[in-house]
Amino acid sequence: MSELTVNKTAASAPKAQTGPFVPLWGVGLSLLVIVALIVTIASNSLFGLDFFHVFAGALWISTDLIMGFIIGPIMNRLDIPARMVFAKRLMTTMMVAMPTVVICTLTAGWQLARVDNFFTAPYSPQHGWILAALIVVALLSILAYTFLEPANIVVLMELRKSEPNGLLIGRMMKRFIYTAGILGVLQLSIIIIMVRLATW
Amino acid sequence: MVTKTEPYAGDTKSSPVIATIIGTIISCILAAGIIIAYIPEQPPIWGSIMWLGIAGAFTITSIVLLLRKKSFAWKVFFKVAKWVFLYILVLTGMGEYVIVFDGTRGETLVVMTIIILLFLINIPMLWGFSVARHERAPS
Repeated sequence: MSELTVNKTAASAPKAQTGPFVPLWGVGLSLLVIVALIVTIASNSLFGLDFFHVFAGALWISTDLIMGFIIGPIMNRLDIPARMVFAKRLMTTMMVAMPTVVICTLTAGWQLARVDNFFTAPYSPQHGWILAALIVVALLSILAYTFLEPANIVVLMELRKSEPNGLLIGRMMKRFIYTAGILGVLQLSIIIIMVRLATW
Repeated sequence: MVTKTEPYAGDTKSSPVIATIIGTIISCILAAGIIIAYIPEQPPIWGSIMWLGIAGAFTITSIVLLLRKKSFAWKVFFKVAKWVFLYILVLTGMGEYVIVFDGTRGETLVVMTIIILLFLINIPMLWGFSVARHERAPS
C-alpha cells in the first residue's frame, strides 16, 4: 500500500522538460523567411526589400511598444504563479519570432538604403538621419543582447525545471519588462527618423 | 537553534565577466560605426583597428575570467551557448553576406569580418554565462 502511495506521488510530481526550447515548426518557418530574404537581396528587388523592411520593422516596433507599455504593466500586477504560466507561452514565441524579425528589418533596411542611394559620395542630405537610425539601432542591440535576451533565456530555462524558482523568474521578468519599455521609447525615435526619411 | 535560509533569487552580484563582454560589444559597435559613418568613402581604418584591439583585449579578459571560475554550471553554460552560437551564426552570416554582396573588399572587409567573429564568440558567452551564473553548481 505504502509503495503504491509513493508511486502515485512520484507520478503526480511535476517533471522537468527535456524537449526542444522552442517549437521546431517555428525554427523551420524562420529559416524559410531567411532564405526568402537572401533571394530578395540577391535579386535587388525594391518591392521585396521594402516589404521585408516595412513588415518586419512594423512587427519589431509594435512588439516592443506592446511589451513595454501594455503587457509589461499587466504582468507586473500578476502574482508569480500566474506570471509563470503566461511567461512560458510568451517567451517561447518571442524566442523564435524576434531574432527573425530583427534580422529581416536590419538587413533589408541596410540594402534599401543602398538601393535608394542614401550611401553616395558626396554624402546625401539624408546621411545624418541614416546615421541617427544606426546609432539608435546600436543602442537597441546593446540593450537587447545584454539585458533582454539573457533574461528571456533564464526564464525559459527556469520554467523547464520540475521546481522553477519563482523569485528568480519574477526578478528576470521585471528586468525583461523594464528593458522592453526602454526599447519601446527608443523605437519611438526610430519611427520619427523613418517617417522623416520616407517623406524627404 | 534553527537557521533560516534566505530564498535564492539567483546570483545578484555584479559580474566582471558581463562587464568585459559588454565592453567588447560596445567596442565592436564603435569599430563598425566608424566604417559605416564614412560609407561609401574609405574610412580612416586606424580608428576601427584601435577599437578592435580593445575589443580583442576585452574578449581575452572575459575568457580568462570565465575559466578562473571555480564552481560554475559549465553544463548549463555550454547547453545555452551552443544554441545561441547557432542563432548568432545565422545573424552574422547574413551580415557577412550583405557586406560581401555590397562589394566591400580589402582591409575594410577584414575589419568587418573580425568584428563579426568577435560577436560570434562573445554573444554565446554572454548568454551562456548569464543563465549559468544563476545555477547552484556543486562547489
